[in-house]
Amino acid sequence: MSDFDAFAYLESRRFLNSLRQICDDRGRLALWIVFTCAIGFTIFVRIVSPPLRQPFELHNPMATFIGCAALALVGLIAAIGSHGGFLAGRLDGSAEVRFLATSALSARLVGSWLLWRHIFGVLPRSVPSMLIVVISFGWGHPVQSLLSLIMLTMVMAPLPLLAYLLTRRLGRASVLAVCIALAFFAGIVATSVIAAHQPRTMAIVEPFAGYFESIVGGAIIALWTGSGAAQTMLFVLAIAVAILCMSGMTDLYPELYTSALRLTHVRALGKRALSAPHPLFTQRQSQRSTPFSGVWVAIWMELLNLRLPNIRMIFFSSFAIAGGVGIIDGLLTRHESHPGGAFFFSGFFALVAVFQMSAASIANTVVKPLWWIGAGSTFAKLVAWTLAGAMSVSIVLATGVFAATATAQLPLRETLSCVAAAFVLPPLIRAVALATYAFFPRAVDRRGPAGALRTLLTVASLMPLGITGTIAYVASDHSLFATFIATTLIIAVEGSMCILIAAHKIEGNGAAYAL
Amino acid sequence: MLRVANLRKTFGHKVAVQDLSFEVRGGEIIGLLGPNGAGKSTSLLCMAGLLRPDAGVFTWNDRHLQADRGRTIALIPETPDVFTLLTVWEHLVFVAKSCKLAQGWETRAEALLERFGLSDQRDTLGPALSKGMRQKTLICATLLADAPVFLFDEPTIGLDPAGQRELRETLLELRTEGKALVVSTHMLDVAETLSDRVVILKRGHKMFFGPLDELRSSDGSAADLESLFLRLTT
Repeated sequence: MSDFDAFAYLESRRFLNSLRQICDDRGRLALWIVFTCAIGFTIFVRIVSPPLRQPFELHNPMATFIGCAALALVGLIAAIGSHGGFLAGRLDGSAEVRFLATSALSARLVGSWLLWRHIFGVLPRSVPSMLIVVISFGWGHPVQSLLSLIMLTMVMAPLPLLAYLLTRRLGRASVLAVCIALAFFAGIVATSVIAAHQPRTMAIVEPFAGYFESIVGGAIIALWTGSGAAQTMLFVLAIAVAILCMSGMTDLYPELYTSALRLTHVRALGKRALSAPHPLFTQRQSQRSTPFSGVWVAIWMELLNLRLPNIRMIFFSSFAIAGGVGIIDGLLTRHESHPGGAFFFSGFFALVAVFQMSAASIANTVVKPLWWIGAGSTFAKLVAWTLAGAMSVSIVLATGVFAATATAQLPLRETLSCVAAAFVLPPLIRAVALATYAFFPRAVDRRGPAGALRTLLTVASLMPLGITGTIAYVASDHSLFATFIATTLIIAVEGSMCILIAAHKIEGNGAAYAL
Repeated sequence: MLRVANLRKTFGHKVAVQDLSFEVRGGEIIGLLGPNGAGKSTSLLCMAGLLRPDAGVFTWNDRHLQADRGRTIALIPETPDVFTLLTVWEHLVFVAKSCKLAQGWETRAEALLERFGLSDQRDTLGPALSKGMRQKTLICATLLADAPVFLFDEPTIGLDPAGQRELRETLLELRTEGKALVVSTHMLDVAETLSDRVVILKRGHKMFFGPLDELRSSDGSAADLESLFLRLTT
């Protein structure tokens, strides 16, 4: 019996049992079939039909900017990964580590298997993005794009792991310093490229400008145009990263176990709003310690969560990234040389925010008896839950929008209107996510076709907002203030309706709804 | 004989376990006692190779155990986490394959399921099992793996009375088979019934190691175990 036999058995059973779970539920099965057929049909049509239009032409300095931004991202990912907190990403909880630690399997083989499971676990999440690119823009051949995507995933997915493994050899401080230096330097080059159309404007990057343009920019252009040599190099890089990781994957059980426990802990902490014992029971006590009382202690709980190191790190990282993206966006808009770039960056991050928020679940809150014991109607509790949970996203989004509008040098009134609009949008998305959760409450529906459907519904729910905003903007003779008032009204009405629907569904089912 | 020498584990500035040394002979049950936060679970995790100790040496029959000591020392934790996408029987098959068990393991596995009342649940997925059932699944899997040393962290929590009785009988049976067992528990009556010797911890420090009779005689009073325990740990 070989070591591979055990892994083959484990993975095949996991796959078959998840398939069995899908087949046991006819509604979910139908959703999967429709989703698979839709993707298959689209790929087929895309392969047999000619490209929709000519591919974009990519030149320097935009190519250098994209390459440097990617390098900055690599530095950031590696810096965060050097902490070791992401080791457990693809583990089936701490149970898996215990079973593996007791087994007679080679530790290196276990490590390598976890690495490949991680890579292939990340891939399905990237495939829809690739499909959007290939289908919408008619760029490249689907098979070629898929291969590039697989190789890019092979390079990027193991980065946190590689960074952590390097810390064991070189020390955490040195690895962290290198990663931060890379992120910082690449970020400066990327910003300077966009700020002045060429990288020579900043003294700090001047000596390297030519290298950046020829190496980084050249590599991006080669990949963009589908150069065989560039793809081969990417493949070699992917294999090198995998070999480096596999060579260091020994004696990792303690770190894997700790990481798995930490992941469980962080997930539980991230979903514990409204579950604190005393404020919901004793309003007097909550009034002494916080200005929030009744259902509104949810906001206080969110603020308390910021004291936790992991939550605080995520919040401030998002804050910094939003600010950075906003500045880049503002620069692109101000120079009006890369309007497509401005759209790409703001659009990309807005999509990420919508995807993340559309998967929101209240399961871990309603499952607790305290939720039901606490004072206030279900509707009021859900309103508080929606506002409290959206608060941090609102702050981050408003920061990004403020950075963008300020950098683009928009007038003060317009800047403030845009910031206010950014502040009220996340509660609506969260309210819609709550309503869709009420229809798809199972944890498995946060991913897969039901997850995609929830995202689609969330995006569709923004249409009334867009239509009203456009009408108000035109009717009010381009007044951003009037547009803001009209859209806020729509947000309040639509959000309330979504919460009402969710309250009705959840009330009728009790705590069992979350199980 | 499993020997634990000078085990030390800290979390930042907090010392969880300080210089813990004891040994467990084959065919012996050691009760690991202590109040909450005494360092019982931390000690067990370090012994099982699931937590990296700051210092400490582990030997089994005078052979130094390295990072892969989980193969010799099997832990059944307090929180019975199981694979979410495997059935009870598939857990056992995976153990058999990953531990490279010899032919005939199926008969033993079937017998274990029967013994712990899991036969009716053999095709049930992990998350659908109750806490007690999950614990029983883990116990079956660990027994099937047949490690020479077993660590049980609060094993009776979550088990129904019949399950608790079954577990006690299993522990005694394992002792008869010559296995070395360490059982961490808050239930002093369980410790008194099962343990040949006890280790009492307080804030990571060993307060006592030896047979219960020795603890009683050293105290010189006719106090019960609960009183002696509270005297040592408060």
